[in-house]
Amino acid sequence: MTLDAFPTWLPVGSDAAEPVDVFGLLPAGEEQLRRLVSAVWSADVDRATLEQCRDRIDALITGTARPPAPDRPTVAQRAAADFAEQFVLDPHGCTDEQMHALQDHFTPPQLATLTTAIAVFDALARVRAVLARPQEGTP
Amino acid sequence: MRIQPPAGGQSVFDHQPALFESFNVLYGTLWTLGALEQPVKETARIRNARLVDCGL
Repeated sequence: MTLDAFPTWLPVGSDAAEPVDVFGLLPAGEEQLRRLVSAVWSADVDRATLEQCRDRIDALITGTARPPAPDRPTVAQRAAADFAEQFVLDPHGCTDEQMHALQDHFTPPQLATLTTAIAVFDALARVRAVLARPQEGTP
Repeated sequence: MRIQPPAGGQSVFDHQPALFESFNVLYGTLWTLGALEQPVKETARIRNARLVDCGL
């Protein structure tokens, strides 16, 4: 999930179908939020892995999946995306086995980045899910 | 502990001090500034913490 503008049911703007920079409406914290998101993407976990995690989270929260990436995910990317899924569904459900498996692929600093990234993606996806304008034909 | 903190650190996030600081600056800003009153934020925090069984 990104900080991109999206149509919202919030009473802002003249055309409800037009995308709105919703995060720009924050009276405080917008700049800090953008810095955090930027820091996540520029840290020590590769972009493809972060995209796998982001897309898995988006699919879980929105109920819609993006087209799969052209390249098959690596074992490390699958482990990261599985961790992201468990984080969204039940963070206490992360098992010792799952956490140890992650350490086969990622260093502790990378796991700190990965966990922060997943938390940010989860939060942004939920904000968007709640504030986005419902599409025509959806309940 | 599943992931050891670095020497002198207290949590896994001490492995990434700059990233952790970015998070904490945002968190602090959202708590201390903005349009919502503090009790409203605290109520939401408590409800969320209960939902995910967070002891903080």
